[in-house]
This record gives sequence, structure tokens and C-alpha cells, in this order.
Amino acid sequence: MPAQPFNQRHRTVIEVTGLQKKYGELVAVDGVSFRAEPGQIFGLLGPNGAGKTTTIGCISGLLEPTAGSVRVLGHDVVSDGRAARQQLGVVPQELALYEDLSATENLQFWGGAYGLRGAELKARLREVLTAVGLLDRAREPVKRFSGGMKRRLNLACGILHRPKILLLDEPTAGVDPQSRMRLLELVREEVARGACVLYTTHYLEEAESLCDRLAIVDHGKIIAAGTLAELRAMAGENDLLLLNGRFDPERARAALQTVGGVEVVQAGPDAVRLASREATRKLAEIFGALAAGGADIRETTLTQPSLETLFIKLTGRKLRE
Amino acid sequence: MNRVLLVTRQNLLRCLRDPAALVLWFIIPLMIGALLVLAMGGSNGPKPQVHLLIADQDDSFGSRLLIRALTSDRAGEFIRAEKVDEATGRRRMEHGDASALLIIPPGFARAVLREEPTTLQLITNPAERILPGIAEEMLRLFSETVFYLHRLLGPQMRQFAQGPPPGEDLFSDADVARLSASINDTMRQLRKYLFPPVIKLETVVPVAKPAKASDGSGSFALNFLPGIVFMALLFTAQGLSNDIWREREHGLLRRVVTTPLDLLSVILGKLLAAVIVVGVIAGVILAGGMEYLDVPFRRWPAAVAWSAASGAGILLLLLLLQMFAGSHRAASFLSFSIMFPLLMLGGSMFPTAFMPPWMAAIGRWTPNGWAAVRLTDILTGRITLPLLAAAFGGMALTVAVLVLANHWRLARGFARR
Ligand SMILES: Nc1ncnc2c1ncn2[C@@H]1O[C@H](COP(=O)(O)OP(=O)(O)OP(=O)(O)O)[C@@H](O)[C@H]1O
Ligand SMILES: [Mg+2]
Repeated sequence: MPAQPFNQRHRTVIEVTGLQKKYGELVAVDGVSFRAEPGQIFGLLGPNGAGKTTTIGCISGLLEPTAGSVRVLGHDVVSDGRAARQQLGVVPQELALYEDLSATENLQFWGGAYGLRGAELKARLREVLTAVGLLDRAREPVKRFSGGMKRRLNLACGILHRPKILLLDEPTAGVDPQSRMRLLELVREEVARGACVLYTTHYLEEAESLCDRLAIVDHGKIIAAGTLAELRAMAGENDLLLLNGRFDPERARAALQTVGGVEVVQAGPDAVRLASREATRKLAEIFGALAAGGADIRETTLTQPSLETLFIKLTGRKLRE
Repeated sequence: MNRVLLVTRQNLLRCLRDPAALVLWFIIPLMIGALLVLAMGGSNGPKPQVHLLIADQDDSFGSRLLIRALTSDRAGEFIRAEKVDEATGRRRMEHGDASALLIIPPGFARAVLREEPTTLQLITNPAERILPGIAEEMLRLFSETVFYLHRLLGPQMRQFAQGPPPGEDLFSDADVARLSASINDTMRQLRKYLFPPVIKLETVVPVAKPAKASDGSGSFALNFLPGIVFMALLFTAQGLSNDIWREREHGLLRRVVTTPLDLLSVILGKLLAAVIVVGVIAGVILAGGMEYLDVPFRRWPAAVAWSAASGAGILLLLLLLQMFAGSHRAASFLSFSIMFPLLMLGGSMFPTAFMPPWMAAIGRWTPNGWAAVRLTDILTGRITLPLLAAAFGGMALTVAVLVLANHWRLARGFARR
């Protein structure tokens, strides 16, 4: 299966419409719709149990949707599953590897499952093993690998056949920073080649640095979606400033009136919360005003607008609670 | 076909990576064969012996019991155990002085009785692949036993572990009496299942009365060979079929479902791998047995082919059974508990020719018993070509039906959960 240019008729390579998946009473995915395009990393960001893996399962053909539809390069994953799966590379959240077999043998099997054979398989094996830094350990049984090495191999097994669409379910969980960089580099390469990547994570930093478009999911629903810039704008432009210490709430409020562009969100005897554009530039002014108002500041926390603040704003919870 | 071969290759490779299991599938039936040969005046070669060092840091009644089990007369044939302290043991392992070092941690017996997690550490000698594997298998058997004991005698064991009631040094007589009465009860109920009257017949193994065996089949010992072959087939099929649970638990079946690889290829690939493994095992046992018994070698190909086909059928049967179980453990238990009666009735423990007629009649209709009778006929040259063709035809049909049933089960849920 030589790499061929994408069919231009299918600009949208993943099309999820009104997807719902119920487990008995529990609605794990509740009316999710999105589209993803080639050369793009689409992120699904959400806390544990949000329904990310279930969504991926419905796209990969592992789970049958309760309602809604999923199309992969125009193929319906239920009625035309085989053709759809042929286009996918799936990297599951669990480490699905044959532990008794070596890295090479695992790659040969999973590559073979996607129809990769002969010289092409051999060439790709070397390339991918080098890319995930396992070339020198390629003949060892996987059970002797560390957790991070298994993660890397887990990813390698899904990209060996150069799929047009990659479904990556938390591919960096439990991986050290160096290996993580390497994995993310690999993902970017696949995108540069023209692949479309669907990437789930609950790491904000990862989502922010990697994804072109993002959907934030919670309780099976998409609560916000867009490019990173669009989502940041939704979070608002104000930095959040949290001051801990001892305050006289009334005097603190009055004192802060004198600083322009600062909104007092909350004022109590031991904490004051402020919202302001570019709060860093006003810190001196704010401290001065509060000191004049008899306040004793012990700790300062500044939060810039981010996906985290957006998530808090939308759900009232932190992402990793 | 490519896809089937892909799965076959993967299964065969994994088989080769587990030489201990392969050897056990060979060795248990061969040992029984060797014993029979011995009983009939044959000679016996040297046996592999595991040299096991044991560091008993628990030094409790329970740990001593485990050691005694490992060094009992029967196990002693394979295991030479030696008690050491941990440091000495580790030093000697580094020098490659033994097959394995078993470390029993402090508090081990107590934890076992309370069914709390505890770890037996087995350090194996990387230079030896098979002997440490045997030690590992035996320990695994032990932990399985503990699990079932807890299912049966859990409350009593926990009561023992708690020790006497507060303020007393010993259990009161009444406590002990009550406890032993309840253990007795359980055992009595259990005996109904564990020791049904049929099994008492085991003592009947009629080494001393070969006269009865002559039903025109020629050599007396020829009656044993098919039983031994089928014992090896059942062990192998059990091992191979149980593997599907390991694949499922590691998410490998789920991963397969997301690839273009279809589940029918998975079943057929496994089947082909089993036919190859079973063919090799049966081929070796048959070659040895036929040589020993002076059976003409031109009957070997048909005998091996028939054994391999039967092995395929048995594998599919056990595979189907295991995929209906609720857990990995239940699956092992289920297939073991069907395997032993099959071995018993099907003529693997002692030949059908020596069973009481009613038992032989049942035995002939167990799948392995039925197939073993055909194998005897092939070996004795009694079977005609049309009958042989019919037998293979019937087997092919059975295998085809079982393949479809297995595929249905795999696709309809087992692979997706
Ligand atoms: N097989 C199942 N049977 C019943 N409920 C399930 C099953 N699989 C998942 N769920 C439930 O569906 C919901 C979504 O689970 P899912 O695994 O999709 O979450 P996730 O976003 O991937 O979480 P995580 O970050 O922890 O991987 C959870 O409430 C989970 O308990
Ligand atoms: Mg998940």
C-alpha cells in the first residue's frame, strides 16, 4: 500500500455526527459532533471518565454507537467497517502488546494486520524502531521493557503502516519528559506527512502545545470547541490574581478602586481574588494600594487565561480534581 | 490466507517463547508412558531435576508445609530442594549454582490464611530455561490451590489466622471442635465431587494382568499409546485455548478488532498453529511409541494426521467453552474440570480395554475417547480406507461447525469487551 495523496474530495477525514454511546443507564458519550481534517491534530481534552476512550472506540469500530454516525474518509464505520479500519491507525490507551514477543515481532504482527508485507514492512520496521529509539532493543521480549519503552512501542505499532488517520488515546501517559518529546515529535511528523490525528489527553500543556483544534469534553458532552486562540478568547482576557494573607475586606475593596482596570471578584478576611488584563504589570500598584489599606499579603498566585481557566469557568471544577 | 498465516506465525512464536509449557505438555504424558514402560520392564533414562534453593524467612508451620509439598516424594523426583538463607542463596544463584531460588517472605503463611496479598519471590537462573519454568509452574499451581481452598474453607482459614479469642492462649476445645466439624462438613460435601466412585477404579491399572488385553489388537502396550497421545493433545489444547483469555486481558483482542484483520482469520490462524504444535508433539510421541512397539512406520502419517485433526477439534471445543466463562480463572477451572474426566473416561489414564464395560461404553463416546479408538484402529491396521476417509470427513465437519461457533462467540462480544 504505497503512500498516495489524499483524495481531495474528502477534506473532512473524520466526521462524527450526534454520536451517542450508552452503557445501560450510563450515557458515556452524549451527542458528540466534530470534524477533523488532514494535516491537523484534533485534540479531545477532558478529565477521567469524560468519554474520550469511548469516542475513540466508536470511531475505531470497537464499539457500536447507540445513536449517531461516524464516517472515516467517507466510509461509515458500522456499515462499511473494514474499509474504514483500513485507513486507521489506532493506538489504544492500554498497552496492547504481545509481551512474549520482541518489539520487531510485535511490529511485524500489527503491521501485517494492516496488510504491510515484505520489503516495505522491513524498511518501515527500521524507520519506526529508530524513530521510537528502540532499534538496539528490538530483539528483546517486550516483557523486559520499561513502561515508557512499551508506550513507545505501542505507538510504533499504530503508525507503522502510515495510516491516513491516527487515533491516539493518551499515548504519553506515564512517559518521562524526554520520551514524551520524542513521541510528540513523531506525531508531528505524521501530521507533516498529511495524516489527521485525533489525540486524547488530560494534560493541558500537551493539548496546548500540540493540537490545532480542540474539543473540551466533560460528562460525554463537548462543552467547548475551536482553535486554541478561539478557546483562549472564550476564557476571557483577564488574568486571575489570588492574594492570600490578612485583609480588611472593606478597606481592601476601597483601596483597589484606586487602581484602574482591576475588578475585585471576591474579598474576604484571608483571601482576595482579582481579575485584570495584564495583571503582571499592575502588581506593584496593587500591592501598594493594598498595603496602604492595611493588608498583609503572604502569597500571590497569578493565573493567565488558559484552557484550565476556561474549564473552570465552564464547569466550576478544575480539570484534574 | 496471508492473514491466517500471520496469526499462525504469531501464535507459534509465542509457543516457542514458553518452552516450559511446551515441555510440560510433552513431559507429563511421556512420564506416564515411561512409568508404564518401566512397569513392563523397560529401561528409563535420566530425568531432568530442578535444583531449588529455598530461603524460608517466614519459618512458620505454613511455610514448612509449602516446602514439604515441594519436596514430597512425588515432587522430589523433579525437585531437589535445599534450605539456605537469603544471602547465601543469592550468592549461589549468581554463580549459577542452582535452577532457582525461592524466597518465602516473613508473614507469608499468615497472609495466605487471610487471603491477603503476599509475594513469593522466585529468582530463576537465566542460563536455564526449562527447569526454572517447571518450578514456576508448580508454584502457580500452589497459588491456584490456595485460591480454591479459600472459596471452600475461607471462613475457617481466616478464623485460624486470627488466632485464639482475645485473652486466651489457645483455641478452646469447643472452638476447635466446631472448626474441625465445619471443615469436616465441607470436606464431606466436597468428597462427593472430588472422589466419585469411578475414580477409585484408578487402582485397577492392571499392569499384572496383560492376558485380558488381547482383543486381537496385537501388543498389549499398544493399548496405552493412543491414550498417551491424547493426554498430550488435551494438555496442549488446554494451554493453547487458555491463551485467548491472556490476549483478551491485555487488550490484544480489542486491538485486533480495530485493525482490518478479521476474527475468522484469528480463529483459523490459531487453529493452524494448534495443528502444527499438536502434530509435532503427537508425531514425536507416536514415532517413539511405534518404534518401541514395532508398529510398521507406514501407519505413522495417518496416525499423526488423525491426531492433529483431533487436536484441532479438542482445541476448538475448549476454546468455545473458555469463551463462555466469566473470568480467566473460571475459564481455567472449567476447562480443567472437564479435561480430567475426559482423560479418565477417554482412556488416557488406563486403556478403555481394561475398563468395566459400562465405563468403556461412556468412554468411547467422549470426543477424545472416540478419536482414540480410531487412532488405535489406525495403529493396528484394522481400519479400512473408506472408514478412515469417513472418520476424517466427520472430523472436518465437526471442526468446521466449531470454527463457526467460535467465530460467532468471539465476534459477538468476547473480543470487544
Ligand atoms: N465497558 C464499559 N461498561 C460500562 N461503563 C463503561 C465502560 N467503558 C467505559 N465506561 C464508562 O463510560 C464513561 C466514559 O469512559 P471513558 O473510558 O470513555 O473515559 P475517558 O475520557 O477515556 O477517561 P480516562 O481519561 O480515564 O481514560 C465512564 O463513566 C466509564 O465508567
Ligand atoms: Mg480513556
